[in-house]
Amino acid sequence: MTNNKKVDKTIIDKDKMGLREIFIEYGALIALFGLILFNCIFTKNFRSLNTVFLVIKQATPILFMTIGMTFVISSGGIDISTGSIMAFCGIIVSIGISNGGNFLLWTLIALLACALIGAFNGVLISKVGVQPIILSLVMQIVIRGVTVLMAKSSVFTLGGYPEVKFLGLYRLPGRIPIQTVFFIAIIIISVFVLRKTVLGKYIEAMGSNLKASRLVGVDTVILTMTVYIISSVLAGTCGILEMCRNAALDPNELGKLYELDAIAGVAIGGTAMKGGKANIIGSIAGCIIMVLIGTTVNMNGIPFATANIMKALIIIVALAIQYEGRA
Amino acid sequence: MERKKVSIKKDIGHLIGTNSDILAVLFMILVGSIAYGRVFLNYNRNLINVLHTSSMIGIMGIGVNLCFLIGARDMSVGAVGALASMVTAYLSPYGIVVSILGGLTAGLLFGVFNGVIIAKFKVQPFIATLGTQLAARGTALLVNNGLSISLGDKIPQLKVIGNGNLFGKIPMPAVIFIAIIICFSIILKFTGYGRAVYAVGGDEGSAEMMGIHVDWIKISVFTISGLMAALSGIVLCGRLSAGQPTACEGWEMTIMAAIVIGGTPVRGGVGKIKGIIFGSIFVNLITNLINLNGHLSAYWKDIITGVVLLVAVLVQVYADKQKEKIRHKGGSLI
Repeated sequence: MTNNKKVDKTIIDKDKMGLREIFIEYGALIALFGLILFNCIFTKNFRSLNTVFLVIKQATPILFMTIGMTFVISSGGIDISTGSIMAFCGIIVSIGISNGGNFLLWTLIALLACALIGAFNGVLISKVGVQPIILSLVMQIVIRGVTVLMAKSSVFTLGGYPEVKFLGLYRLPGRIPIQTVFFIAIIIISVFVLRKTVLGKYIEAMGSNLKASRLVGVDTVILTMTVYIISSVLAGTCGILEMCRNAALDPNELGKLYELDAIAGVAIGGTAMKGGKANIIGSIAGCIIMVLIGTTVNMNGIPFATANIMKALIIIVALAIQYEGRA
Repeated sequence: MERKKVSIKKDIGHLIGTNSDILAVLFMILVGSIAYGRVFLNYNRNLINVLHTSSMIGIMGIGVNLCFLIGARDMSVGAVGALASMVTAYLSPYGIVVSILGGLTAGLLFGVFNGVIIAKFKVQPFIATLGTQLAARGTALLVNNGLSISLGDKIPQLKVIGNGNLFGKIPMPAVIFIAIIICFSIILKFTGYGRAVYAVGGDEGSAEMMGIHVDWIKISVFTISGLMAALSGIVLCGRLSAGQPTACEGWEMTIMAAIVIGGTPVRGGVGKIKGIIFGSIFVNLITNLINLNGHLSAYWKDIITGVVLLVAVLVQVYADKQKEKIRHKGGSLI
């Protein structure tokens, strides 16, 4: 009897949602709104359609990675090799097309290679039991090394290829950049997968209790592999989009520190860092915040290093608030 | 008879297991002498440089090793080291004491900050220190607008610390490194504080119930880590005669490899601090062998270090699983 009462009470408490819960759930959206408001008032030339297009153009690649990271983190893991995978995927495509290959074919090959890396990560983490942090740190360094060796330390310029130009610079009627299409598509797909499919629920279940989800019949090995494959493939896509946007590829630099931005976006968005709860809308808002910070700093003529300090503070504050909410 | 054989076998296995770091270093020396002969074995021209670099990585690694003992990672050390080197070089006109104190203060601040957000706000250490890494690197870049600061002919004493050799044979950084290792070995083994560090690493909840101030231990460990990183950055500043905002990039990974090879498991609660000595010599020998080759790209260093780290972790995971199996068997028999 008393037990029932307790349960009822917790349910009621959950329904009520304190200020903190609201902050965790919608904090990123509120912060995004605040940042935009701040920019509209204080930043010169911010209030124009071009700025919106610019932000979308810059945010689309990193959004792919952030969404991949949301999958991984809500499953209870972490993947910091994604920045290197970006460059790895880009370099395969660049080598392929500069030897006269078909762009689409080599994109598929490159994404397949990324999927293999993801599968490898997944097996080592779920089957063997290596800590995700250590494993993905190793993969980050090793893949970066392999990428630079494959490129023979040279920078590829890809401006001459029509496919690269199309994916990077093409504008739809109304001067809308082509990236908008990917931007909207990935948002719809990811929200659908995480909110409406069994896969999304399984991932959250595994993140909140690995053992229990195994006991109720979820194949955690396959599921972990799927999660890391999703993350790697999205990171690879991010690499290709970024490569097309730059029309060039520096194997040494492409994607460096991107994984931090992605993790930060997820953390701000209110996805629990320990896994079990994915807040995909929050992640999207968090990702745009990360890009907007860079834009703000650049448009106001402040040294870019300041952006890194601001990002660091935002990550830490977001995580600290999250803890308070959980306690 | 049979039992004796088994026990000898066990002893040898135990000996190899506990001294795998020394064996790894001996193996690298063997490979080096076979591949490059005298060029590799020349102490004054080659091996002393390996000791120089290993000591700097090692000093930074001491702090990270302490973090490993409490089951946490510190990813910010490289950036904090770079910041300390920048601050030291920036303050160099005011004399050696001020500049070294300045560098150490930078490390102290970041260490305390790490500790407080990890202990008090329960942010995961890995992500919190990734954040402070960004912040420290950003600050280091802001000190002189992204440019390095040359020491010029100011504070020559620091150059002695970075470049000098004791008796002409032992690098000064190595002297500092060994002195700190001895201090920490004693602290960890014989003082209540040291035992508390292990207890927190083993099981936080139990440690708390035993009356250990877990938060305080965590803050102090991260503070020490920040201080050690700063010290390493200061030594590096002396060695390069300049503060470099982009110094120590990627050292976190090298250090982790050194620690894991040195025999400290990633799960915390177990391990000795002295493992870092041979661990850091080992990872630097890899770099040295690749550099001596002259044809291989420097990126092979990253790949090989990464693979070695992965293999070492896999061995650890495997050993843990074996132990657990034995424990389960024992339990069922009783």
